[in-house]
Amino acid sequence: MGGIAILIAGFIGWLVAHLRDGLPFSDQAAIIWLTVFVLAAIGFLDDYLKVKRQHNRGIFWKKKGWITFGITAVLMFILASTTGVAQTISFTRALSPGWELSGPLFIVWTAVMVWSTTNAVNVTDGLDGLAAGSALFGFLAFTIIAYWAFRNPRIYDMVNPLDLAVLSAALAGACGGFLWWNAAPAQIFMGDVGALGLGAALGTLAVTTNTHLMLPIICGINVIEAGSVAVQMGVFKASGRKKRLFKMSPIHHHFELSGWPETTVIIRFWIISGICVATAVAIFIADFTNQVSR
Amino acid sequence: MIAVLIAGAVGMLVSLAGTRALISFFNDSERVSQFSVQKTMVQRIRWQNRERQQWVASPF
Repeated sequence: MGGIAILIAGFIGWLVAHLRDGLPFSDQAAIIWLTVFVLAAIGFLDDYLKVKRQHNRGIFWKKKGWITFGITAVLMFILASTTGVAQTISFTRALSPGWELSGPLFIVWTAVMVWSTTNAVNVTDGLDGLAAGSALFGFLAFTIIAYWAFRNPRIYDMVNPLDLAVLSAALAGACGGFLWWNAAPAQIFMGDVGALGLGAALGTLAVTTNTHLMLPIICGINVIEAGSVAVQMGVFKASGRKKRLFKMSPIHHHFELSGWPETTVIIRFWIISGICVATAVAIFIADFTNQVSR
Repeated sequence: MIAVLIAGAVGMLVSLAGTRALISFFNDSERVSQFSVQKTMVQRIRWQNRERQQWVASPF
């Protein structure tokens, strides 16, 4: 349930930053917060039911995936229809590669992106500080990307990039503050409320900053974690429920069972996360210099 | 740039204080300690998963 503190702190940080002149509230940031709090509410309900029932399966255990995907699709429809978000598949900019998607396809594509990110962050949240630390790196990357776009508006077709940078910085700071108490041995966990909320924020920031295809690089550790679960399930089912590729999935448990201390797994995964984010930012800056030199 | 820094700093400070307050709230023995229940539950689930995994991995 500690995720409540992260999300509220991020929201307060975002609000306080608007006390400065010259920073208007943007509709895109408002919809990002709406997405974050709606998905966090689902996570909160799931957390509450798990605690109340003393079981690791909430009421949504089998239906949760469909429910969250449906809600995410509705929120992406609101984002696409009420804001000027670029409706293209993007890597570093709206026009790179700039494959246009018609309305319904764009909604499905972005809903899949956001939904996948929420699940990937949820899967990563299994060791003390792992999800909060990797999310912190991700938000720092989006802060740099959005602020860079704000400084270079002729190259980046981004709506209200400064507000997106402020939102991302507020969530990065909130993750840092939470991590202070969540570092091993953790005194508090973020729970589904935090994991779903942070995943929603990362996914929607990728949509609004026109960096759809860069999201898997920025959230590289989350992709590895979620991928390990998918591969484990695939191998297990394909072998007639006899073989497993990893000792346990998600992959952080595989390394724990291989004898790595928990803190070693966490710090090594943070290093991987940092490398992923550095790679993404390097690609972003390289594309910028390429555009400028033309 | 200053707005970005303000957002990050305020977010961090509020999160530091807010998380500490949540820890105190959930650890207060006068209240129903949902946090403790959840923490115990998470540890138990982890332990059960490991037990299950070791059992499956066992040649016997």
